[in-house]
Amino acid sequence: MSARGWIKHRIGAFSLDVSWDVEPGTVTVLYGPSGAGKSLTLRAIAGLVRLDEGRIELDGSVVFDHEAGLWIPPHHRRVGLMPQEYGLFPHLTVAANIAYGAHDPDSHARAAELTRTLDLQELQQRRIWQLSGGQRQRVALARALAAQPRVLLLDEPFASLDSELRRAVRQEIRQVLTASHVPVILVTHDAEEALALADHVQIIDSGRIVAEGDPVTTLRQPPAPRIARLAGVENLLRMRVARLQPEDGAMLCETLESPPLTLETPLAEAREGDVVTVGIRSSDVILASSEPQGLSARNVFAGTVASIEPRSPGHDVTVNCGAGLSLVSHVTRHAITQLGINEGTRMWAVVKASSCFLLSED
Amino acid sequence: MNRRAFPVRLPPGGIITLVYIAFIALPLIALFVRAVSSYSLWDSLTSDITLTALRLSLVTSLISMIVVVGAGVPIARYLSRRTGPLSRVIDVLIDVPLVLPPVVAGLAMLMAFGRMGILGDALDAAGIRLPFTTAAVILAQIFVSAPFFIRAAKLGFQAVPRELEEISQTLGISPWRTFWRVTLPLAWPSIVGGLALSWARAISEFGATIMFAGNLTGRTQTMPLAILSAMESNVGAALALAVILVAASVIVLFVLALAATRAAVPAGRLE
Amino acid sequence: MLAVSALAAIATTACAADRPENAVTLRVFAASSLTDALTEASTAFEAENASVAIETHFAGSSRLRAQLEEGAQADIFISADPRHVDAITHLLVESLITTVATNEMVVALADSTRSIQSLEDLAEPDVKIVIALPDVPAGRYARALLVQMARQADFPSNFDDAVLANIVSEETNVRAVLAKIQLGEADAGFVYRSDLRDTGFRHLTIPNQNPADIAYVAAVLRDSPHHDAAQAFLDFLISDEGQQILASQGFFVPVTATP
Repeated sequence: MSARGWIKHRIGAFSLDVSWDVEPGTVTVLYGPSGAGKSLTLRAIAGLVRLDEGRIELDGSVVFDHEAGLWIPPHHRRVGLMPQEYGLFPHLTVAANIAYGAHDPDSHARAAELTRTLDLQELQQRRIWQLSGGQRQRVALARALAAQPRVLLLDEPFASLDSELRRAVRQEIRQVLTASHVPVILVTHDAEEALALADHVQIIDSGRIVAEGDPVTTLRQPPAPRIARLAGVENLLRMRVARLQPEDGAMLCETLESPPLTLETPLAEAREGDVVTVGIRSSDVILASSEPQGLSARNVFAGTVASIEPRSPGHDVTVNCGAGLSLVSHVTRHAITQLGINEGTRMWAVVKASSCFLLSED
Repeated sequence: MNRRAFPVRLPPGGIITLVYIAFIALPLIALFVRAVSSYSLWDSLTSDITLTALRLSLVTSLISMIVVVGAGVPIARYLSRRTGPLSRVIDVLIDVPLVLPPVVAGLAMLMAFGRMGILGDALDAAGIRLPFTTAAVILAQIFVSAPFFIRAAKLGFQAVPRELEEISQTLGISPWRTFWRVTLPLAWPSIVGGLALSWARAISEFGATIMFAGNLTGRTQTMPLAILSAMESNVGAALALAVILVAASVIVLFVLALAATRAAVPAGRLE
Repeated sequence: MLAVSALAAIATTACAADRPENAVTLRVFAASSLTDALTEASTAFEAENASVAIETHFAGSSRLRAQLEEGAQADIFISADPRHVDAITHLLVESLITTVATNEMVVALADSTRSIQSLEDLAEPDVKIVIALPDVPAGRYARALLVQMARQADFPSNFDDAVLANIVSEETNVRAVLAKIQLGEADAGFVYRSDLRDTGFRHLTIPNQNPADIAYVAAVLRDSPHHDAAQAFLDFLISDEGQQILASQGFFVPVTATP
């Protein structure tokens, strides 16, 4: 039971051109900024949008093929769509919501099983407005799975949960998804979420898939600056390659101002003197309130805090290290109070060489 | 200053509401008091004319409501999904009977469906004569009361999130069954509210009826017409009829209000 | 409060426009069949009496009587049926009760109706007849005349029942009867001769009517603060000029002015 297909669709100036191939029990994450066409893709697969061109295949049967003039309506597609706000029916109880799409004894049994698995027995007679965000999410998931879909489409499933809860339920959901043996396409604009849930990642921008592959390579150390920006790599540094050290598997890069600061990075395909872009995720930059001693990390820079900006789940602290080098570090609120971080505070930024990656020009 | 010195404190809105309720309730109370103190009340209540008119009013308004709901639900549903200039024009046209004085509505119906009306010859050829028939009473009621229902039902349908209907379909439920299982239950309070308003307008319909259907006991004389006719001879009888009409209406409106709240999703919970 | 006082101002002053400050406004409750005649007579009277304004209120006589019984404020009551005056003499200045005109019933016919050529045809099946309610003078007279006709040798003995069976609507006043005929929805209707003036309706006359039966009786309300002005208006109605106006509107004028 796999889901594959491609679609081309135009709405005014916006055009969508995507394709996918998802194996059962695996999660493909469609990652990209809002307005990139992620939700539209899900709606298209569900049959809620009339498409210009394409072919959509679910579990070996074609549900849309513009060449053959085939278009199966949503209620015959057997797709499970879970929208951002979950789309639960307010006039029905939890139990009636879960059993809503159950059409035979088999799926009723499945609804009962999911109610147990997702720990919803106590809530069965409740109405939707009596549930917390996390409970709603579980009800929506149970409802979608009880209808025995051939593909599960999740649109920002964690967006309406607070960040603490988000992390907690992620793994639980991941297990349910894997156990369901249904191909899953999950839409998100949160890189951390994509990393935690994806077997395969597609980065979508302006209606097009700009990169895809395994989540770590694609999102941790994306191949190009534009994708890095999409993937939420906060530090993109223009540097000159100063010296290659093949024996250490490393190389040294310098900032473009003089006197330069030097950064050690993993060895990459470059020649001495090349100007390159180095990416470092803000979560990989560690801050220290006094000069660190005896560290294995190769890169330590002294600087002053230029700005502190909140970004869920913590804060982005920008440290100006001079010589044209600014590093953004993502730290918790707790860390800010404990280290006494304020604008103008003197701090040390620490970066492991292996956290730095070179981006090819695009 | 101890603000608690006043036993009851009402915001301005509450005071105005009280004044308004008094303004509405006083004439009704006066009506009841006069009707009850009138010695002929019981005779009037049980007289043939009263019972005939009451039965005619209830039967015609019931048939009118069946037609109004039967046609109004699909119309309201259709309009709730349309935007654009044409649908706005249709919206306005549907509301026109609301601003038309009922007598004019009756006159207009005569011009269309009367013996001399635009469709008069065609109807005559088909053996249909509407004026002075019970059917004319029903048509007049539909004409004046349908906009109230269509308006309310349309707003009700518009308030149903499109997403819920889509989700229902992805769960394997056809659009038709989705309408019954999701759309209708969610729009239910508005539909019943609209029905109450519409029915109230139909049962009190007078001007269009007397113009288009005339005034004949047992055939076209509904309660409001019977009240006016009784006024010509006996104010006491008119009062008795009025009291019955008010009482019957209040009962029906309460039943409908109950039906609306029973199935209702609390306000603001639709999203 | 502002709204309430504005409302009061509107309610009390609306009709006093264009009149000298010490003007008297007479409120006349009159049978609706008098609409045209009384409007013309009021205009003529006002032209001669600058200090008096006439405010007319037309409806079926029985409803006017009911309104007066419920305490409606009026100076003059003109009924199309003496019985409504007799019923409320306690509210009236009895010495000033005056018959101002008489009338007769006719059967007005719709333009489209060619099948009715005589009164006997009214009893044919499928004829649509409108009539005023039995409690309205015009309705009472019409029914009385039908009974009277049925007793006559020229008509079948069940004539009245046959005609009544053809009634499709009972209207609250004569004007409404006329409107139904004018619209062509009904074939025939019982109305006053005075109603037919200017309309060019075909009509059938009803024989053997007593002119004194349909008498328009005017009276001054006892509570009226303007007895003199009211009496002056009644005097005007029975003066030569007033009677001429009434006659020109199709009424018969009394042979003797005061009963």
